[in-house]
Amino acid sequence: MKGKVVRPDWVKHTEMSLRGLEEGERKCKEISKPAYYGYAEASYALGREKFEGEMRLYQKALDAGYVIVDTVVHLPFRESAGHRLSRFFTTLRDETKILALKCPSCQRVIFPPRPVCGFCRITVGEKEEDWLALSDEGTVVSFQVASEREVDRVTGQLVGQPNPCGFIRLDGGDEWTILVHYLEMVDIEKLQRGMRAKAVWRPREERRGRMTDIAYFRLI
Amino acid sequence: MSERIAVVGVGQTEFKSRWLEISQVEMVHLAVKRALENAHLTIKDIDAVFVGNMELFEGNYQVDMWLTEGDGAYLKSGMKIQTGGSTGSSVCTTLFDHAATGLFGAILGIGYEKQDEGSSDFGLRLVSEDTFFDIANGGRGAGPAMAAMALDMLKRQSVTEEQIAQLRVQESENACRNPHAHLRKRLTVEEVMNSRLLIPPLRILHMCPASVGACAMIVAPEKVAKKISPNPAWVVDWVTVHGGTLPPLGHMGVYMEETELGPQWAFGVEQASLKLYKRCGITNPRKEIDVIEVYNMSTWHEAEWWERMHLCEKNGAGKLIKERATAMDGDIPVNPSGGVVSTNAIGASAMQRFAEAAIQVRHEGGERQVPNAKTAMAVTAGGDSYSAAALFRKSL
Repeated sequence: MKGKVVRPDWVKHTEMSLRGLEEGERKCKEISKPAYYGYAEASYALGREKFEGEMRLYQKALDAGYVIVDTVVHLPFRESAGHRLSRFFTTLRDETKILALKCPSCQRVIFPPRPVCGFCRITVGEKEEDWLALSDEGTVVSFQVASEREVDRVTGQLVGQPNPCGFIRLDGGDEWTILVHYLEMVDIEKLQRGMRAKAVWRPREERRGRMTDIAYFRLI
Repeated sequence: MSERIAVVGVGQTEFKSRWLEISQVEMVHLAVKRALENAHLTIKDIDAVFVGNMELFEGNYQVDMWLTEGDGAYLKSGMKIQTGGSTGSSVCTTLFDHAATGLFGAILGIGYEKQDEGSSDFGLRLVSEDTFFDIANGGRGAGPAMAAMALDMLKRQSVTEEQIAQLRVQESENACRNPHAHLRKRLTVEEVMNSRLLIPPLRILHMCPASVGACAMIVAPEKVAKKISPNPAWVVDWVTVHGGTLPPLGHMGVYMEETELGPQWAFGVEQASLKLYKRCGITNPRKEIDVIEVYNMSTWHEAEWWERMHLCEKNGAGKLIKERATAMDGDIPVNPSGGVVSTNAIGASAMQRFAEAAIQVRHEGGERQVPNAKTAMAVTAGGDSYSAAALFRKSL
């Protein structure tokens, strides 16, 4: 008994996005230099190649008479940010300020604002003096680049996004105040720890009290 | 006073990248069957069953329910365990804890992953707090923290890129001797150094694969172990520590070398090893332990872990590689199985470290057996920040 692989509709969408029509690709163009964009495109080719290999294996197993069932789960959730993160996000939206907490006992900066200092095990963030604002400038301490776009081996959909991402240690805090965000990127060969980056904020009407209120970090 | 306990059976499937012709239940059943055969027991002799696997990596939830036919859990005690990369070792320490109560006869633990069923990325997307902060999808993986750690090892001249490649070759040589290893191709230094660059200086051949496979282990208290097994692996002691004192962004892998806890997982690995040494009276691990199995998510980690386990002084990892001290014929063999860089079915990986250490002191390693191994240690780590360590001995 032989089965037949029917590529579902979403595979077509994937192929469209491989050609760069999705928002992620637009953003990648917006915040990256051409040197990086070429790199991102190469990562698509790898992703596509991998998916096609998966489809060949799948077909082989079907031809051998095995049944394999596709299962796709869509999981929408709504998550409460809580007292401290609600204040963090509204301040981000209204004042373009990045808030953090300072432990009154060990003086370590707690970022993002959490209810307890992990070292001293005491509650923080209930008093006004526990709060401080960090700078929207910082130092890149690590980075993530999409060297190979992951393609969901079941649906053929691209997973994640193509933009480079930086781990940015914000000024005004301490070694722990690291934010992960989109990063303007030039060429991965030139990437270095210690590069400086500054937040590019979205205009007021586009800010929603999310990390995306910062569009990306620009290298300075 | 707790019971003295021993590992009396280990069963592993083959490990591969795709296993489309087998179901999860069948795969787990294969490992369980092999463990029971190894222990000369039947499923009727098992009092409790513990299952470990990464929730949602296969797109399933409550697999322990589905697995009942495969693992024989029907009408038995037990539970399902998931602690990220250390899932398998959490199953093992749970087995040890339960066996040590003396309330059970033989008990069974299983760690498995069938990563060909979906995208493990899907499960990782649901890590807590990432929804607020990890908008760039960059912190979810361990890559950036690994790259930072590797850069730091180069900066402080602990290892060179060439030495890391040599170590990868050593790992591949070990994997070739292990019939259960996934990547069983002998690599060369040139192949490793010219493999695809991921995030500088990480290359694809430094990293662990995504594997499919299952591992099962049977543990019993002394009175049962002595009756059924001619060569039990006595579990002298075991510890678990949570190394996540202050993760700046949840699990997002931003423990950097220059922070006081060191790179991701390093704090846990160090604390678990030191605690185990102290409790077991070990002062010179390199001399007093015959073989070590460690959770090396990349070749760089293996070298870093040696320093953290105090097998050498800080920045001494390169010297160990040069001396081939951790090779099969070295004075302190590490990962004769080939380690996680050769085989990584996540839920099974950490259990395999414990199982392989037990295999070594039971002298059942075949080609990968370290001659005359009397004491073995296993150390694990994982994204949830739990690190577990255990010490096995050939005789009590």
